[in-house]
Amino acid sequence: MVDAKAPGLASWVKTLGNLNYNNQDEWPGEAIAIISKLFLLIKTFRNYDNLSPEWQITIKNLVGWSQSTKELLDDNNAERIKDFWLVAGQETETNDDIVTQRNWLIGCNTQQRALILNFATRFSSFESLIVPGSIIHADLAFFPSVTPHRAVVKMQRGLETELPVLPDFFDNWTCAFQYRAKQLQQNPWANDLLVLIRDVRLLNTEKQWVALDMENKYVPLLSSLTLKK
Amino acid sequence: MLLYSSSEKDFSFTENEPEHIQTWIDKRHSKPKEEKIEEEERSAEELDKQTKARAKTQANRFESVMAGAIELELWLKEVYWNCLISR
Repeated sequence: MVDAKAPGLASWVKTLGNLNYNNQDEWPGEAIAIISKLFLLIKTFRNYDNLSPEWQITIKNLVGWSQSTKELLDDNNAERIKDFWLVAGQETETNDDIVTQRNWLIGCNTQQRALILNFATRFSSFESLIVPGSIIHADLAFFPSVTPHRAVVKMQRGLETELPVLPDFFDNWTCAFQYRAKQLQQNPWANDLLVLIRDVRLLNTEKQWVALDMENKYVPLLSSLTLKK
Repeated sequence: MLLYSSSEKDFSFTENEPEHIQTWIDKRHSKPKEEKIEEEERSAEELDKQTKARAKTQANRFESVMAGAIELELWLKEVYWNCLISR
């Protein structure tokens, strides 16, 4: 896949190879989930000529065509949303000497979700400084997609110390999963979705941490998650 | 340019430039324009060439990815039937 210049497909195959095959209960389900999505992606890519322009861009990105931040910033027709953006989450991952920082933002007025990626290497630091919990008054430009999600800061207007208005929270996990189902209905490859849930309690079970909603329904958190942070 | 002549009578004064000078001036003025047009034509030509080269590279990449995707599809079917279903 790397030789075929399809890094997107290559990363799916890599994920398949990195599953924990010692866990007999988990790996078949995880493998089927990955294979299904990958198979659907290949079938859709093979039907490229019959897709709408938005889908063509989305599929090309998933397969491995990169999107140019510079071109996006220069494009005056690109989708641009001005809002007070709450940095609700951040995750940093190192892979092959490249550090990828994912920042999840939500627009307080528009409820638009945005994912801002930041990259660093051993020789260069992150392009922009995004602090979790901060509120950025900015215009974000969104990369074209059937479900625009990945964005870059087009114009930063300032930093706020307080939220001008609270973003919408889901009442419970059921609502969050309904939202996820709706997103997947629009784009089966949608991932990195941000959800805000009201009055969640964190509970430390013997095995791992779980997030409990007001109806006592819970979702286990990633075992790698460090709550000390 | 300044010219100094000690014997002014040796020179004749005319209101207009002599014909061969005018031709030379005209030629001199028109030359950069011609060059500029040529440059513009060349850059347009080069731009067209670049666009075509880029389109060709993209088309080659698309073909290469498509070929890879077809192979990957076969491999996935193999993994599915031989590793998961037969489990």
